[in-house]
Amino acid sequence: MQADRALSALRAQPVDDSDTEALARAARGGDLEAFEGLVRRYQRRVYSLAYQHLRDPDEAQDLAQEVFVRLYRNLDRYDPGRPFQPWFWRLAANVAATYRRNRPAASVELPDVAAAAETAREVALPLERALADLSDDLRLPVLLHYYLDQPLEEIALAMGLSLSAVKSRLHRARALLRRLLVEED
Amino acid sequence: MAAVCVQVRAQLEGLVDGDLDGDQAARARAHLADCAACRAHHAEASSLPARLGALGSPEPPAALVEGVLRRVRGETIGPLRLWGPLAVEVLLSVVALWYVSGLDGLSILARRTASDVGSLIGWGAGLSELPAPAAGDVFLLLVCGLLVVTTLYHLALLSRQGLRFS
Repeated sequence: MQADRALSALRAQPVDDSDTEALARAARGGDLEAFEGLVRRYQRRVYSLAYQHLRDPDEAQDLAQEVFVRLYRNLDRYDPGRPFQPWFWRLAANVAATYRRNRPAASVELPDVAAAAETAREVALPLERALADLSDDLRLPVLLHYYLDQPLEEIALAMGLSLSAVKSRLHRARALLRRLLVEED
Repeated sequence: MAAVCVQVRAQLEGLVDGDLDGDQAARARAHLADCAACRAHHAEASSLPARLGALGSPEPPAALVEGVLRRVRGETIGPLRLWGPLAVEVLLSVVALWYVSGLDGLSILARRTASDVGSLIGWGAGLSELPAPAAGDVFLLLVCGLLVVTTLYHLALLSRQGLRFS
């Protein structure tokens, strides 16, 4: 009963990382309300990652939804004895990295989608525009590390790269962004 | 662009991160003191990590959580669907056991099965006609077949949902 009350209190909280493990453990045990609590806690950050990665609100929503559905399907693989966040972001990074690859090619070619992306690009701030010009392979580690504060080791695990490869991608990405921003100035 | 500018600009991210050794860093800084264009690059390189951390994004749409829950609920298997096949399995097992006991036990069933298999082998070798199995054997085969199908379906459901309850 007391545990139920504690869980209810956790679910009602705004986005906050504390006690996330309790929700994750309950969700792993089949508690759908606890899972909903996790989704509400992470929705802002997951959607932001998806939005910065894809620069399209509809696609960002689709990707964010896919991240959470994959979370639900993989909850039994989460080890409750370990921190939830690194495991979750690894999963989210995996889904984000494969999202574009798994999309049907036809949807990429649709003219209205291309036009919407171009419009979004035009109204974006210089840094966001420069970020959109990076390849997926460079943009994702940048977002995970600088935007979501994920440690390099976790990004390496998530993307199946060595630590030095992640560092190299971050340096290359930042150098490209810098050049684009200086040229724009 | 001078070769030294190309070299220094290639090192800027390393300089910002403190990855350059002392000599390299000193040479880069000395060049930056004299080169306004490279200083502009250095200023961008220095501010970039913080600016990336401060990127803004729109609020997630209200439909996001509902959409996730709708999809997840569609994947959740209710207890009735999960454990319902158990009743069918028990019923089929009881019928099979009752039927076998009606044949005076497993030894008679084994003898009849061996006889059926022997007849089938003889038919396959062209030594005899295709035997007509006893109606009881067909019935038992049907019950066992149903039991296998139900059990496989049940195992598939449990494997989808089972670990969630571990």
